Parts: sequence; structure tokens; C-alpha cells
Amino acid sequence: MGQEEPSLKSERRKCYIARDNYVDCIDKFLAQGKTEKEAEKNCRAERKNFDGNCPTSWVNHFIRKYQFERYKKTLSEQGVNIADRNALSD
Amino acid sequence: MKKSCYSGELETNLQKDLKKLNEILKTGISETESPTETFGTNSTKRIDKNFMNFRKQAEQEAFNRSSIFNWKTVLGTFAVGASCLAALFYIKKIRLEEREKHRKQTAGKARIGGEWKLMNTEGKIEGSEELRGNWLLMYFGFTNCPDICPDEIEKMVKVVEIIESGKEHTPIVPVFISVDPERDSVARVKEYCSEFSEKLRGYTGTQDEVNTVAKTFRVYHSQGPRTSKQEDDYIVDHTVIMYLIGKALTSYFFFSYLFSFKDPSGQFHDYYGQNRKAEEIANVIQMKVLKYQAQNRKSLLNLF
Repeated sequence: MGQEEPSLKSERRKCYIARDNYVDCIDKFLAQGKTEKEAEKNCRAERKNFDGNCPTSWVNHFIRKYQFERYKKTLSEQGVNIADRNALSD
Repeated sequence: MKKSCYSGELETNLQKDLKKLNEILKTGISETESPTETFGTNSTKRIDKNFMNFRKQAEQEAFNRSSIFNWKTVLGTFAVGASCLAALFYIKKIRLEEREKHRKQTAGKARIGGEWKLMNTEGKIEGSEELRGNWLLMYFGFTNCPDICPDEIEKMVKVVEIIESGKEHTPIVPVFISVDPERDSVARVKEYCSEFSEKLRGYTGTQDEVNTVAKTFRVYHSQGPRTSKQEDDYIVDHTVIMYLIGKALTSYFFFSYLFSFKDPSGQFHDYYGQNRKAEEIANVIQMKVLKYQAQNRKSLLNLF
């Protein structure tokens, strides 16, 4: 949690770094053509680091956000015109 | 009449009937004519003449009247119609203008904002009263916010820096109000805010106090589900909007002082969503400040 830590900002930064590591890892395996489950399996260490540096609620939030971003990306790659930008922007 | 199936017979019957009718008509007319003639030719003629005269006169009069008034009435109707139409259009125009004005007024006087009081980072009660006369940028959030709040607060601080380093050097006070008083103690808010900027003023309070302020500013906030592991680990869903709160016009202050209006501080001026960039917001605010200053000068001139 880091609520008792001296700097809330540095805690946030640590969490963001752990998050980015995890997301990069997942992206890497997905790019190799692996399924999401396989990617998650291969990124267990990063996930542990992610969980250790962020509150659980944040982890859930970031993962949901990441998945949504990916969903949007696949949509636009499929040529779906995302007309309602407001609804889909974060 | 007797029914017959031959057309020749029918025709002769019809002709007979016609002849009969003609005879009856002739005798009838002579019969009706005869008594009038017995009254005397003079009197009948006079009556007839008078009768005819009256009728003719009436007709003539009616004709004269109608012919005299015809072009007048036509002109009159046109004039009345045109003026009615003009009046209608005028009324419509006025109504439209009024509606537009009203719409603008309601937009300008949106029931957002007002007086508020919370605990500042020194643990003292502070609010709109103490901040009166300042331009404020307000943001509602919580210190345990994963990413949106820090981004927005950073943006808010950036907007303030852009404006203060601009031509007008307009001072703007960035304000952070917690919508998660359960976890956001005065000390935590103080620490949180100081990490963004010295200028950022943080406020928190009791649940009720915070709810009241959020309601005043029409800010939605809802505590998310707690993760099972840690009891105080949750995310607060809330409105991500930056409010520009400004001064009231000096003349308004003057009149409010004269007629003891309600404190006009904390006037809602504008809002900025998450999609707006810092530079964009700064530009808009600078325009607003300039407009306000011009308006204020004008209202002061009108006063004296």
C-alpha cells in the first residue's frame, strides 16, 4: 500500500513502473502470437511485482483499462470506425 | 302514374301530363293575376314600384357601399394583416431573443458551485469565504486515486503555471477537494497536495461535509467495491471535471453590499473535462479573465 511511506508520489511511480513492466510483458507474448492465458502464464513474475507494488484495487483498475485499450486497438485494426470518441476515450 | 313497360306509351303519357300541367299553370297564373287587377291598376303599380324601389335602392346602396368600401377594405385588411404579421414577427423575435438570453443566463448562472466550507491542510475550517476574490480551479478526487487524479492535478497545476507566467499574470488558486474523506485525513491530503505544488490547496472533511460540497458542485462520487484482502482498498468513481470559479463583477459586489444579497463569491464560470489539454484550458481561462475584466470595467462605468 505504501500509505505510511514518506512519498506518495514515489509509491505511485513504483507502481506505474511495475504496471508498465507487466503490460510490456503481456504485449510481448501476445505479439508472438500467444493467447492471453499463455501470456499471463509467462508473465507471472511481472504480475507478482505488479501486485507487490500496487494496491489490489489499482491492479484491477489498470488491468481493466489495459484490456479496454487493447480491445479498442483491435477494433480499429479491424477497421471499425470509432465514431463516438468520447465514449471510448479514457 | 301508371307503370308501363313500353317507352312509347311512357312518352305519350309524359306528354299528356306536361300538357295538363301547362294548362293548370296558365289558368293558375290568370287566376292569381286577376284579383290584383281588380284592386286597381294604380295601387298595384305603386306598390310594385315602391317594392321594386326599395329593393333596388337597397341593392344600389349595398352596391355603392360595397364598391366604395371595397378598395378601402382591401387596403384596410392588407394594412391590418401586415401590421398583425409584423407585430407577430416582432413578438416572435423578442421571444426568441428572450429565450436565448434566458438560456444564456441559465447557462451562466448554472446552479453549480456556491458557498462551501471544509478542513484545509492545516486542519482549519476554510472555504469559499476565505478564497473570495480569487480565481479558482477546483478538482474533486481522492488521494488513493490510481492514475486519473494525479494526471488531472498535474494538468491543473500546469494550467496555473501557464496562466501565471502569461501576459496578465493572473493569479489562480488550484484547489483539490477529497471525495474520499474516509481515507483522506488532513495530513494525507496535505502530503498529497504538497507533492504536486505548493500552491495546491487541499480540503477534506467529514463524509457529510464532503457530500454537501460535492452536491453543491454537482460532483458525482461513489465508493467502489473493497478488495477482499485489504479493507480500506477501494477505488472511488467520481466526476472528472475541473471547475473555474471566479469573482463576481464589482458592481454586483456593490449592489450585494447595498441590498445585502447573498454572498456572490464562488461564481461558477466554466468547466473542463478530461479531454482538454493544459494549454487549451489555459487559453480559455485567459480569454475568460480578459472578458471578465472588460465586463467589470463596463459595469463600473455604468455604476457611476
